[in-house]
Amino acid sequence: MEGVCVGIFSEPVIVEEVSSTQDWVKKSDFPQFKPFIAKRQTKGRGRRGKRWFSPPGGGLYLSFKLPKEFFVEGRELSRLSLVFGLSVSQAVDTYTLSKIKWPNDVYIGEKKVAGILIETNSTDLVVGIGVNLNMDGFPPELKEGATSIYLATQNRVDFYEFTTLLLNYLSENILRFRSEGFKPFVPAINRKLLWKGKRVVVDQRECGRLLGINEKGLAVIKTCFGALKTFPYGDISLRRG
Amino acid sequence: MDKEFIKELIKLVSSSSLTKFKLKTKDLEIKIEKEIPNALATPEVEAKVTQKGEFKSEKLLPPAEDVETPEEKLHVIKSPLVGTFYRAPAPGAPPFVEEGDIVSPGQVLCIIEALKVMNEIESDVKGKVVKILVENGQPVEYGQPLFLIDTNV
Repeated sequence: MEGVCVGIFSEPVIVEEVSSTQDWVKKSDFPQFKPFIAKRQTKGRGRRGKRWFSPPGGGLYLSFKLPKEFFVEGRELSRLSLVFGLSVSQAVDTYTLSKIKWPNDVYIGEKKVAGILIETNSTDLVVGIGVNLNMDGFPPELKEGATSIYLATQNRVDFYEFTTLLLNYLSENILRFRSEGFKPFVPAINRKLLWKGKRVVVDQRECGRLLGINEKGLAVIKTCFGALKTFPYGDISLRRG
Repeated sequence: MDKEFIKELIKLVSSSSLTKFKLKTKDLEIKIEKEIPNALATPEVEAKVTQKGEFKSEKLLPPAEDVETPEEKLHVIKSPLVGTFYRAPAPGAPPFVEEGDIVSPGQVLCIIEALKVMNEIESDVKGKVVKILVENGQPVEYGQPLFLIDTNV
């Protein structure tokens, strides 16, 4: 793997353990387009400072930095968020069918297998991806909602094989977004959208049927009163009962 | 442009020593004038607002602009996108800035989250944060003013 460059990416740095791949790549002197990959994080983090469970021998933790100017001016970069989710889901599909929970969590069945954190400043986009590959269990507080490819398939995943697959999908999709924008990704994401057609609740207040995503990457919901509503943000959950 | 912002502006001008305040953008013009004939009179505040069209959510960063008054110069930092406004990197963490803080160009002022992308919004000037116009966790529109910064410090 070391010495191998995939698509737009330069040679990856692979380490056994790090505090947080994202924090390292965010540093101003870390090169753009260089994947920083760890097998374990001691301070893995997710959205809004949430902890990301990153035990040894379990997962893949990857961060990389892209210059904003790599993309045509006017491309809505927040839509890349969904493109990254699709890329991870495509890589997981090699082992078992996965779905995308809007906007970009990757699920196997009803459980999360991968998460993505994207941070931007005025010049760069810093992307962090955590994938649960081979964990054979989760702490009690995560057990309900988390899974790994191993738990779903009973087969161990080769770390390097998965990493190469993922970097390939990412590179291909980033280049496509760069030249064609978000529109070509909409059908593929809609096909993989978790709870599509089901009754869902957004942010524990708005309920309705999830119709899919639109060409802006927003979730489209048909409310109980029959009105169509789009959501630029919010957490979707399945309506039980 | 929301009512709260205009209310905040009126409050700010009323409590300051300013007698005239004018803010003009492509979509909006706000003029606030205070008449104080003598020291005992209560200030009269008149706000005139005209708004043309809606903010677009598709453009890149709206130009930050300076609001000039005889007494001071306030720089307005606006939201470059539609999303959720956060004052701190995580719940429970200290805010990036507080009112009264001196900030420099490139310093992170807040995060705006859209489609789970955490956009760090940086200051493009050096100055003192006079007013934070949005509450933590609130949705913001494209072009909505977020911070007033006094560059005369």
